[in-house]
Amino acid sequence: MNETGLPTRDDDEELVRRCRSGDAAAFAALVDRHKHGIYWLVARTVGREEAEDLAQEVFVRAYQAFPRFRGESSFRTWIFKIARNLSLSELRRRGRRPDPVSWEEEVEEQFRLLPEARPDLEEEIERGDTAERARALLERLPDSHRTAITLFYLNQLKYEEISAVMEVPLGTVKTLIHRRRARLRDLLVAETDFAPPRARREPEG
Amino acid sequence: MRCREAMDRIGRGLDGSLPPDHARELERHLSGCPRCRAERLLQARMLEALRTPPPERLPADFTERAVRSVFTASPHRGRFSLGRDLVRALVFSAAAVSLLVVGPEVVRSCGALVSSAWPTAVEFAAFFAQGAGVFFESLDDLIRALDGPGATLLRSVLIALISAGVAVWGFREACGFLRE
Repeated sequence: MNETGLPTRDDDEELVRRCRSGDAAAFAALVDRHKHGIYWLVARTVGREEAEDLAQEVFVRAYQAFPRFRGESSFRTWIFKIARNLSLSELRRRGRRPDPVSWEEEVEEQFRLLPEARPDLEEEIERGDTAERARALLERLPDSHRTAITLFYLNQLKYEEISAVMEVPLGTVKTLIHRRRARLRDLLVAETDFAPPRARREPEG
Repeated sequence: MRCREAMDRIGRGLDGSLPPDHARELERHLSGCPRCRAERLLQARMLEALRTPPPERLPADFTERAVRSVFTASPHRGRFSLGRDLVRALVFSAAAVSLLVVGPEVVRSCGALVSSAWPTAVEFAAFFAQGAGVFFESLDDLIRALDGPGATLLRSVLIALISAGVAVWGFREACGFLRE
């Protein structure tokens, strides 16, 4: 483990090496290290109902694919890629076509300022359910955007790792995360009572 | 600093990517601007939400189930096979029960049966049957040679130990089969 409490690459690679020789304890350690991160990603992609079973499946598939893991990327990147692919397959199975990753959209500047001359605004934000509303808005983002945001903020993957997991260029990942965050903030302001009427609009869906 | 510029710095400040001199300028602006202070609080709450895991917790046996899915059976057993494991469990159980009931007689009878039923296999069968027969006879002789009140008890214990060992082995195989 490193100082952030996240598994390190070296630790993972040693465990993978032991798993290849049939070490069940090493496999259990790998599952323990990554199960929450995998579950969070899967839950935010396919929903909470199926997330647990699918997260199990991710680890089984990973074990079966160990002979093909060459260590070119970190184990964390590799298993998140498996999780993402399985999640997309699940969406397809349900007849939901995963959204095509549209990286060029939304160049329009939509940033709106908070209303002025409200001395109690900070208190209102503190008291209100801002975080809850932000989570609800996240659910409405397209799958790929939600995945990028989740991998970055929740799983704390680096831009490079997200680029590898989602198989898109590094610059695209940075732009996407920045824009999605700005968009979420904008929707949050628009949907909140303190926003002036002219700032309200239909949420993205 | 204008509010629009402050907002850009608020985002980078929350990410920890704002240079120190810009951060100081931002703090000066915030101290006199309630709207931008509210903006920082709003964005901080939003990021908090993005960084907060879903409320559901994984069940305590999640890891155990994943390991079980992969290592369905212990490594020396290999993957479960209905036909193979059923036959194995029955064979070992039958052998255990037979030995428990009739003991060394089984070995002698097997030798006689093989030599009369299949002449071409006499040499092989005789080798194994004779070996086993000699082992049990020697054991029997050894026990009979003992004299005194403890001989009967010792003979019973030895026979029981041998039979029980084979029985436990067969029982374990049967349980393994039923568990699968």
